[in-house]
Amino acid sequence: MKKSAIIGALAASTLLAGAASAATLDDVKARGELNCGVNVGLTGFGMADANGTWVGFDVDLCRAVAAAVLGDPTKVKFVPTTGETRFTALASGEIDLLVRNSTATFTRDVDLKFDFVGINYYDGQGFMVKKELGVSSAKELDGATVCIQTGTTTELNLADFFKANNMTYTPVTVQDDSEAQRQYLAGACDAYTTDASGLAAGRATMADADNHIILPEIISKEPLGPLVRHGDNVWGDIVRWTFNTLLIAEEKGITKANIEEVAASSTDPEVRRLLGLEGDMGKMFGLDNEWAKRAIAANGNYGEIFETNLGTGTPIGLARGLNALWTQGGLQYAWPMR
Amino acid sequence: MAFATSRAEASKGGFRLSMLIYDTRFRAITLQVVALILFLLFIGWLTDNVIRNLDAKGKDINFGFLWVRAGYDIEQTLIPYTNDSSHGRAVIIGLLNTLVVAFFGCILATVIGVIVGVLRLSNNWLISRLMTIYVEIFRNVPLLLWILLTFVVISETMPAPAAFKITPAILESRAALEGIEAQAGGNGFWSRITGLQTLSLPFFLWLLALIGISASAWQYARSRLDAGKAALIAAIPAVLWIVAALTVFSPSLSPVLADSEASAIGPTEPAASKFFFDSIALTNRGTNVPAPLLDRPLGGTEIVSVPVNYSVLAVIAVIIVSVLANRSVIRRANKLQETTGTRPTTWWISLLILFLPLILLLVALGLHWEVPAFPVNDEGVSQGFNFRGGIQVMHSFTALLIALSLYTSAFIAEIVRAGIQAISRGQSEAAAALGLRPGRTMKLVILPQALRVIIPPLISQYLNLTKNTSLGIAVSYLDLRGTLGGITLNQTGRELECMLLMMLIYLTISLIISSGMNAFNSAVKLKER
Amino acid sequence: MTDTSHLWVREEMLRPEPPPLREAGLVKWVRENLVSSPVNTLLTVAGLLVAVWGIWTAFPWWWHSVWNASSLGECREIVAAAGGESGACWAVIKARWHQFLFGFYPPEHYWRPILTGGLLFAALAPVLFWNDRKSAHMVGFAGIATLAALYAVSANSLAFAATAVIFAVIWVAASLRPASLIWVTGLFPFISIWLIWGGSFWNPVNQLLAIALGALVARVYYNNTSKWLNDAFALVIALAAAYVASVVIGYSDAISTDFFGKLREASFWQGFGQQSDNVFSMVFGALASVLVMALTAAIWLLLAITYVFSAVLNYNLADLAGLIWGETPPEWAGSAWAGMISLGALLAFALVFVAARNRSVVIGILAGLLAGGGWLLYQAPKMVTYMATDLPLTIAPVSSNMIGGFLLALIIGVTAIAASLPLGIMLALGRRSDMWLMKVLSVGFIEFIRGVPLITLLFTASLLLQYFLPPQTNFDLILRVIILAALFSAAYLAEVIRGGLAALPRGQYEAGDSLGLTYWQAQRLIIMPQALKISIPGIVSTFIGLFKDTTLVSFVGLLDPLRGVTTTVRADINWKGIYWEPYIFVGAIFFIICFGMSRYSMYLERKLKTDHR
Repeated sequence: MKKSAIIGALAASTLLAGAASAATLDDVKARGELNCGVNVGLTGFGMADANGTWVGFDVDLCRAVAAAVLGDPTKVKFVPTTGETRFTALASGEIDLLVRNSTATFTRDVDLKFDFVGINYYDGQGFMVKKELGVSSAKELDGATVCIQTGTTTELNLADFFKANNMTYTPVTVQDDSEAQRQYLAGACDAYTTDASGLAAGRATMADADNHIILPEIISKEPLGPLVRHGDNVWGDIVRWTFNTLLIAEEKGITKANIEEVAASSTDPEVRRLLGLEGDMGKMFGLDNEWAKRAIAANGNYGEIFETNLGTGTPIGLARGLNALWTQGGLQYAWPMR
Repeated sequence: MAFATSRAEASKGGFRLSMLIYDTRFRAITLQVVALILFLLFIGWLTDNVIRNLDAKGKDINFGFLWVRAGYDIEQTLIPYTNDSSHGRAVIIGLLNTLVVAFFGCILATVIGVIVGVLRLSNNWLISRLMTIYVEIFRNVPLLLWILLTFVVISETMPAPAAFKITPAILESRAALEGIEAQAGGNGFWSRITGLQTLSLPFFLWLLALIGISASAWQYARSRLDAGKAALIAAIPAVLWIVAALTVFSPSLSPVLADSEASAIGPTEPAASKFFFDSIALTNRGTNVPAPLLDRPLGGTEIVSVPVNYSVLAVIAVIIVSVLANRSVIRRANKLQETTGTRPTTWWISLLILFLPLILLLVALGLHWEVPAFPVNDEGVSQGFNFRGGIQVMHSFTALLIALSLYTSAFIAEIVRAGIQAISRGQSEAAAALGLRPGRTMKLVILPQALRVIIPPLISQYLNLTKNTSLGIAVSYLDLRGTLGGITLNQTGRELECMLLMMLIYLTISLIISSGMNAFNSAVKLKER
Repeated sequence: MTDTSHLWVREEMLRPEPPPLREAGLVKWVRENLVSSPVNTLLTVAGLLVAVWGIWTAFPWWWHSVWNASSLGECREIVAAAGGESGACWAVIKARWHQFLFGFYPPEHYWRPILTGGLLFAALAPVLFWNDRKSAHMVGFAGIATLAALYAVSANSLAFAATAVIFAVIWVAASLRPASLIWVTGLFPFISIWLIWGGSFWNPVNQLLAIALGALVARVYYNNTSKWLNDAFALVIALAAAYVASVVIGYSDAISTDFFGKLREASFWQGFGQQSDNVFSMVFGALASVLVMALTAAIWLLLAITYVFSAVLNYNLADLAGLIWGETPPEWAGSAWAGMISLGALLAFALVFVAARNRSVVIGILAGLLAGGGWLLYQAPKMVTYMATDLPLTIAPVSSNMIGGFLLALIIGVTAIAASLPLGIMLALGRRSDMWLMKVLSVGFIEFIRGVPLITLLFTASLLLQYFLPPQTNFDLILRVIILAALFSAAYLAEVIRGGLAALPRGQYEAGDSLGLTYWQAQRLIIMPQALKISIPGIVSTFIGLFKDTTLVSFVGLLDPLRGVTTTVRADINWKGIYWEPYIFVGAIFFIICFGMSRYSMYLERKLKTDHR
């Protein structure tokens, strides 16, 4: 009671940007804006273009959540986070949601007290080397100098891999992706290791892409996904189901372009539940029934988001691979909307 | 307004509550008590917040992670470390990395700073302008930019280690070349001269240096001798310079063999070569230097997980003893000079005392150098990715060291300049009147006095440099911030513990440096009576 | 003179011979300035070597500069087509210059930061020149520069006209009476925050109203002559003080009760002294354990003292008993009423009442603060809503994460230095104070801040502040960074100002004492004006240092011009792999700003020197 007087006086300062309470959903609604933590700049996943508009695979998930919760995909405040600041930003409530190619691991889930609510990109750590080295397997990298990005799980995986294969290496820890690529291209390291998607993206944008090869070994599993704070299950559910919605939409062939048409004509019960034509799904976690429709309409379904930002039509040119729907041999398997 | 009451008045009136505020004797106490209460409440508030925040997050304050396996590798370590070592050891590695870059940085910055500061006052127009440009450019651009730029420059301009490798292609061309040489009947000195690329930058620079060396030598000799002899004397350094060019720098001045027949063959030497008698290799990853190895080492032990090498201790002990012995020799010479007026010749005794014991010790220990090289297979083809053997100094270290030294030296130069200018002209005029040469005036008259003005700001520059080593993060130099405040923090998620420990360590370093330097300052400062 | 035996007398002077060749013109200059001694010759050649090498290596790159291209690849093609090996690709600057300057600030609102920048100069003018005509010149230049900048970013005509009018008004005022510009200085903080972050115009108006109210209350209190009015004032203020004291004491009481419970659970020393096979690491562990336990004990002691303080002030012996025997304190001890009648509150009431009846300046200021703060907390939000419905003078709000580039660097630098000035003065005075505690606290703060790198403070802002503030408080990262940067520069400014204070002759202090001035009067009227004047060059160089150090904020994820914006630009596929050009561009701007300021500070130094000697 007495404490509240002081805290009240402190909180009333005009520059306070609002407090994060246990109910993130209420905060977001009250604020009218979703605070989403993204990468400072990673091609294809999260970066700002010349106009300062954020684009990317992770960014579009933020927009979908904003569309579902607030009804407007533009009502997102993108907070660029570094490898070091990202988890603190989420834990302290500075951001509501972190979508920054973060690998789901035991310690992050249990010890750091976060919930990974889905895996939007299945990745694995690989190596890229110059062709002229004549290396065809990661097992031949004994004694090599390897560039790694610091603040990620990759440095631990790398140490484990070389240890398991009884090889030595010299690590060159680098701050960000573009710097790592510069060093690699300048020959400051023999191999560059990061998530295979990042390697492919980097290679695709190199001037001499044919002179570089990605080694066949994938030395780790990197399930990348959005994460929220422990303990706020409603908010976690919203993000989880927004993501699932995008997957279901792809399964059912609902796209940004045809969503109105499908909504008007579809007789598929699951589609009708998804688009809020049947049942009261949205109300169950405090949203209206159109939430999923808006999430899909924001940037299209999962497949569309992938193709726009990373797919073969872009300079990055990633194949779907593991991230294809389970029906097409991938791992993306949405939970049923029921 | 009630003013301070006098003592008599106060004792007359007895104590009133208002005296707590208006009596200067009590007011100080009142204010301090109020301040103390507020301060304690503030601390209490902070601690309470920390505890409740930790509680809310389900965390605790626990330094146990320092004993847990770190699991990551560090590219440059002064003491043994593997990814099986603990986080605590990684912290020590980081701390040592911080200290080593700060130590060498301070020395380098001082040397450059003093030179630039003195040269800025030079009456040589070109030099003083260049030094001004140097100082202004380095002072007015953020250090972070210098660190990034230095790193980019170093890693972009140096050759990759692969360029040092002997490839099968090179061996083939060598075999082919031998055939040609056998026909042509040798190929040596003349091809080096005829093959000089006179339009290349190295040649031009070399020529300029030649002109400078001979002009300067002639000028020096001319002031003492007549023209003919002077020309002869001046020719000596010029000839030496030419010989040096043809032997030492020759690869960079002229690509050997420009004749058509040989150019049809591929390169017979690797694209890059080690220098300084084939012992130091500069690659875009680091500087590979020979490592000292001992045949008969004295062994060592480990104190608080920091290894101690008895051989190194022995070398240090011998050096200290030699220096002390040398000082006593000089002191005796000084005494003799003061009593008899003649100074005995001591330079050879000094040399002997300083170096002979050390050399003997090193010979006894069996010192030899392990030169970095690529392992070679039976055919003579280089194997592997990197140099083996020797010591590799990573470029993150070099870049950080260079950038920090250059940046700080610009400030030190200004301090030195201001210190020198603070000495009144009368001092240098008096020295000139006594017949001292400018160099000795600077050394014996100006600098000792300027030092008094220079040292206090110099201390804060050293402190700044030490703190600025934390920017090594920009080039991924794994110093204290990189290990404890970077990877360890990240992998363990213990921000509070890591940050507090890191601040404590930096604070300790700073306080040690500043108290040490302050003690030095009070030792050298002008004793005023 | 007439009797002369000379056969021939020269009637006119000989024409002076031209000086020998080596003593005139270029040759003399070269002889004296370049080759005066062997060492100098050597140095000259060495200098030439460096210059030739620099130009030779960099020239082709500059020569092949490309200004028009849409990607790095295109740049390279153009350079290759022109026959160059390498060339600068300035096209990236042309494409992204606005991000280097403004970050993601919406382009249609560029006029707002530009206008703020222009007003900054108008606000600085009275600080630099006081009642001098130069103020008007400065305002004029600032106005013209602002309009030119607005034209450069093609701002809309309304902004253009408004800026022109604003500067015209300020210029006229400055020409008539330069000192009147101090109003611009006073208004600037409120206007600038409103301009940059946007929102309702009624926000700054209400903040100003709160200040006016506070000033009014303080003035009425201090100037009133009626005795009963004064007593009433004293009573109200003393009651308020008692309330605040009781809340604070009660709160600290709660802190401490919580704390002892928590401390038992917290595991400060877990992990230290763990068993190990190595005797040295065991010793080290034991030492570290002792150290940490000592630290813990120190904190515990501090908290225990707080606890005793608050218990005594609360006049709550049961709490003391609880401390000694570990029993839980009775329920009533923590109630608000007990707090109100507690000894501490009574003491605060009595002290403030006595002081207020004697019209102490401090109490007047406190009263003013209370009134102003009350207005801001309780009335202003309502007023803003009320006024905004009738007359919505609102400009689009811009959130902090849109701010970046040099705009961010300037915001952090200028705000931090301005905010740190009062704190720095207090710290400098505290360090020279006769009061032991003040001195210890000031020295401790200054040495702590100066002993740790700025980057750790920035990480504190981004990682640790959340632990030190009440749970669930959370504010803007930029604001947090500004606070820490302000604390950082306050410690440095304190040292600069301390130097200024030390430079004043002792007679100045004694003169103040002999005139019977109080400490604060002497400081305000005699000491500070002189000490600050001497310190201005030092303050400027502190600002330069801080401004350069703002580049470090990229490590906590803010968009500084050097690493933040550059990373963003390089994440774009078109500009992947571009290094030199952004760095050179950013470095050049930093150089221009810092060099200009350092030259200005040197000029000031010279000017101030002639004043004194």
